[in-house]
Amino acid sequence: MRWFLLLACALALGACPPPPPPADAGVDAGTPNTLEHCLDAPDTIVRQPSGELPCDLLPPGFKVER
Amino acid sequence: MRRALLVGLCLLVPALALAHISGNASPLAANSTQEITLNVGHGCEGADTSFVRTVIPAGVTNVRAMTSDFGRATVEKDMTGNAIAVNWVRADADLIPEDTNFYKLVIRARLPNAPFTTVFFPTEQRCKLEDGGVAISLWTDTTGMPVDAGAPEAAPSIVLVPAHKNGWHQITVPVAVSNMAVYFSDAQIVWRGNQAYSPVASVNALISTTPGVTGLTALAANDQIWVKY
Repeated sequence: MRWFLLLACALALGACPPPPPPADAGVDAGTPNTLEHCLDAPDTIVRQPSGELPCDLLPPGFKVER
Repeated sequence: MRRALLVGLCLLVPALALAHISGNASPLAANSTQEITLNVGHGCEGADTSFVRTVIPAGVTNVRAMTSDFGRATVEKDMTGNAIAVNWVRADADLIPEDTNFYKLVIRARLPNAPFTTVFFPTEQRCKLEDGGVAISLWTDTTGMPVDAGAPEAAPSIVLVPAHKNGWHQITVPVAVSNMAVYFSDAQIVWRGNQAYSPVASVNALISTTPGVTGLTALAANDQIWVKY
């Protein structure tokens, strides 16, 4: 009888399916793994005025004295 | 009342811009064919305008006058066939009992190759009065200075600048410029060395607060400048 129980347990273990692979949320959710900007238009951030002429209004070759 | 006519001339560069700048004195591209609009703001002494004669200044060529809802346009020519004036005549049947209307009189012409100058179009305006008389207003002063009361008013004028597109342009100014606002009203900024001028008040304020930069108020002949339009 003991021999029969051991055989039944062995058969039952062999019949179980393999465990599933570890979940990978990045792949499964379809999202990239790299970091992205949190704003679509970062240039729209309000910045404090520098009080000086912006670069696009300086003529070619001109450098502001610092 | 001499101040019977408010006349302005403007150059209408691209066709798209016609309506947009109509009535404003915007700089025009020298050495190019342009439309010049004479804006007749009102008549004389309460009467509708019946006739306008504009003298074509030297250097303005290939003149074509456009008939408008004001009336028929004709070009006067000299013995050599050059246009010397354009006349617009309003038919008696079209005269309005009151001075309520605004008229645009258009000329197409080639402008002289004289950037940074002002071209005057001396103009005479006539109105038929109720008593059968004719009131005449002269807009013929070409000094560019304020006029005395009773003297002819300032002639309509256009300002010529080098042809340009948006962006930076390096220009050698052929003549002295004493009033920057007249010739650079459509620029973003003008530079001569470390001096700068802008017709935009907020940019002008930054000029005075940028280290090493000072204001630019006038130009001498042959000055080399950078202009961003």
